[in-house]
Amino acid sequence: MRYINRKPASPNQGRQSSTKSEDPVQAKTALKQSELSEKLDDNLNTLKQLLENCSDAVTRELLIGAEASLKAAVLYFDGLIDRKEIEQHLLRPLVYLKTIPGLLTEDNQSSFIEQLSQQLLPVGELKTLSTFEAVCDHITAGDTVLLIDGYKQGIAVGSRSWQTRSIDAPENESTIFGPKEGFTETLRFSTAQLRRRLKCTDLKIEAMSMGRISKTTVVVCYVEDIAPQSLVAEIRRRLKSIDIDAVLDTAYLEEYLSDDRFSILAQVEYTERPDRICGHLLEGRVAILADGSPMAMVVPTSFPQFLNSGEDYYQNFIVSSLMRLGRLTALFIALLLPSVYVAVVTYHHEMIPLSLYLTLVAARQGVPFPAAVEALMLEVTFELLREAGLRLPRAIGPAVSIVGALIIGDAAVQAGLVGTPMVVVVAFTGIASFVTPSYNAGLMIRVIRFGMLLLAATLGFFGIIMGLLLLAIRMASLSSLGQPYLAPLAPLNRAQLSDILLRRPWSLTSQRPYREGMKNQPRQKLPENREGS
Amino acid sequence: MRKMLLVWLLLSLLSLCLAGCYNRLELDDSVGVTGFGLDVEGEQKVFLVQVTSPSGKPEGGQTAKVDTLVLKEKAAGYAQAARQITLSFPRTPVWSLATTILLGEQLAREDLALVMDFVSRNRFIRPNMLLFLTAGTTPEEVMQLKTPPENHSLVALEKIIRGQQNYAEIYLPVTLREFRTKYATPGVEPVLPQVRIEENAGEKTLRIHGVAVFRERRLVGELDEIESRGLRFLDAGEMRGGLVTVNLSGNRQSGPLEEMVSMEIIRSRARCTPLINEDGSIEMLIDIEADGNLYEQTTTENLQTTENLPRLEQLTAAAIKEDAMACIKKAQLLGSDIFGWGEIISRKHPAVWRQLEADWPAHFSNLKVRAEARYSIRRAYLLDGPVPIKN
Repeated sequence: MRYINRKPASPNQGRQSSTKSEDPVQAKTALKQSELSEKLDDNLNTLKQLLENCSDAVTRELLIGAEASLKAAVLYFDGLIDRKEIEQHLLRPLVYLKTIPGLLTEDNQSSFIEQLSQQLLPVGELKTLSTFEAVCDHITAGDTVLLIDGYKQGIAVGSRSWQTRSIDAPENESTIFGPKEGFTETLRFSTAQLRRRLKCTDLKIEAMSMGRISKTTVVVCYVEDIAPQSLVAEIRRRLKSIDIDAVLDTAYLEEYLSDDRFSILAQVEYTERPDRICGHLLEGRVAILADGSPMAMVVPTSFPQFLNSGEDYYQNFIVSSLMRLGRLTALFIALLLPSVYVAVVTYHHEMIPLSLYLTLVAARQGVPFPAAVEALMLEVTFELLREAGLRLPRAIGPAVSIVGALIIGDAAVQAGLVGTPMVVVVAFTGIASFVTPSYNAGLMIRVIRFGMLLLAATLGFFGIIMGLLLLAIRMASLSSLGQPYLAPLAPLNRAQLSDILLRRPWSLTSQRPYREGMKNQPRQKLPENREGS
Repeated sequence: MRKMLLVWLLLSLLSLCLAGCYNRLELDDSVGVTGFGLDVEGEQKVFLVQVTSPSGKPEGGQTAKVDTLVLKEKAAGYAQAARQITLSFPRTPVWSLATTILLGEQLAREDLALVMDFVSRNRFIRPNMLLFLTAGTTPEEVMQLKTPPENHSLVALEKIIRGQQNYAEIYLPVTLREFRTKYATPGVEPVLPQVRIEENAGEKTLRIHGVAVFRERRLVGELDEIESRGLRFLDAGEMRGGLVTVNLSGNRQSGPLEEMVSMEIIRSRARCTPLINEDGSIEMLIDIEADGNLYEQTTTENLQTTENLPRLEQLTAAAIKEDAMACIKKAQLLGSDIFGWGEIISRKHPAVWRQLEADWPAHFSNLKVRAEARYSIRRAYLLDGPVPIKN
């Protein structure tokens, strides 16, 4: 109820003063929920109260009908509508009505609204409204509402049109092969991109409005029969149970779709690539998109999924398989390299070959801090540099990289604050942490890395193994919307294994990944002679 | 009640962390150990350690200069002496980096039992460390020796014995684990490669020369290079390299120079089988089978003919047998069963072994041996015959 307190307590006492409510908030709610009246002036008065201080609201009053006898009003929000469209297809026919009086006769007056919507207005989307709330909802969404004196209904005309970013290549997920289109902030364009790729009525795009103030349209996309019904129902149930004032990005919904809300482990996948979403939909997952956000969310997730890039499926499967193995290696490097280095250097000297030991000792000569502190310092510096570089105006960007590379990299070593090997370790870890294609999974690895570092600094390899064990136990016990987080590694599904660590060639992929309740399992019909091979 | 239990559990778990850092050792407080030496001086035990000390930071892509330091301490026991090092040296030695142990000749002559407990019990000493005996010198001298291009003589020693395995293949590296097993097992005696210091034109160099032979707890003698090669031929393990030089005249030692032929060994394995005769006497049957290539000839005669090749094969086989017999003779002379024949007998004929066990060295010295060697030529590298000569 936070937002309500911010509203100025205005002494507006409209037609609904009969409710006798002292609370202006309740009064306003009652006002909104009341029905439109037959008198246009009353309606306009009420709307004026509701639209008070909304400088972008436009109310255009006009006279229509024979001898301009009928008062009417058109309401819309400036900037959200296509003016030409409204002028051409709403205002112009209405104005013409005046010159064709025969159309408006007393006997068919009762169905004048019907007549208007069925015959006279050449627009695609039309809807009759009967409450103020509906009127407000439509005009804030970019529709134009027509009110006519003497009628209890209004007509909403679809006229949504606003300035948007054009569809371009997704910046955060660029690929060499594959489509270069990404989602944009306008939901309709995003869903259109999905529909364009899966031209099938089985692709369902269920819409719901979320957020009491933001009234964001959120859509749940899935392919019927492939996505298990129970899964879709669960997602629907969870989304419906959310009562929040605004949904400004898809990510607002992440916690509600995670089985463990307080876990650091990423439990949803984000992408702005329609082709990747389609790939997920065909594997029986469900995508959730919200208006105003180019990021689509995919559930349920399993951890191995974060290591896959959409591009894997556009390249030769051998190359892709090697890439996947490389990413797995990079994952472990990003997670463990600094901690293994610290553990080896402070506890397990016998692990180092003599010549390397001599190099390391020479490089650490005179470094004032213990290796663990040194690692922590450099890791934090690296993370700060990364964070700074993320939000920098483009003009300052190079300055930060120069400062980062020169001051931190070189000067710190020259000054004897850190040893060269640690710089190498941290730099390599940094590079490895950017290999993970999924950004939020990469973030989670970064955070866990610090925990590992502390464990390694206090307990050595023993600590690292304990940390890995804890992580493995946590991951194995986690689920994402009821699906095991480590599937198909644990519980083991041998048939799926070849598409997790490696990329299976299409000619050997006849089944979709197993999901409970999935009806449509076969992915392709293999030719008879290849079935056995 | 439950809460208390949880608190106790938490506290005990947290105390685990306190134990964590106890053996923490920063790199710059540590010093690398390449190996150590054990010897005796009178009643005192001598403990030596060779450490590496980087002098100065690496600059401009150059690796750091490294100095060798030899630290020496004397005490009543080796462990005591090792700990005394910290009284005069500021850094903690990282023992587990060490790869080589040198045993002093004096110590080996007195009693191996003086050190065997120390090297076996101490958790910082790896069982896969290499053991050497310093012959005609002391561990300290070997450690102090400059061995360019290696910075540390003990590292050089390790590389030498591993390197010769691929080319000369005369000596077998002996690890602490192996030595300890042979020390403890009845029916087999330990051996160690010997390291000597040779002086050539005022320059002192390291050389692996000969094999030290032990009997029970003491050093009793050594094998020279040819006998060491014989020992290598008799080892059950497969041989990967090495040259055997034969003379076409049949006289290996003093045959005419232009009739020398070098035969390479690429594979060799030996089988020793004890044979109990009807009269109860034991005979060892030795069967050596080797393959190899013609590697070098000094004669201009074509050796790669159907007549000459079998002759060469026989000559080489005879040479192998000769080396092996020389080694056996020496071992029997020293009364030390370095081949582990006693152990073979104990495995194959336990009843017989029980009678021999008590007086095995004497029985070993009088053991009849029948050796047989075979050699086959496989290839001759780039030449089909001798290099043609202008008429």
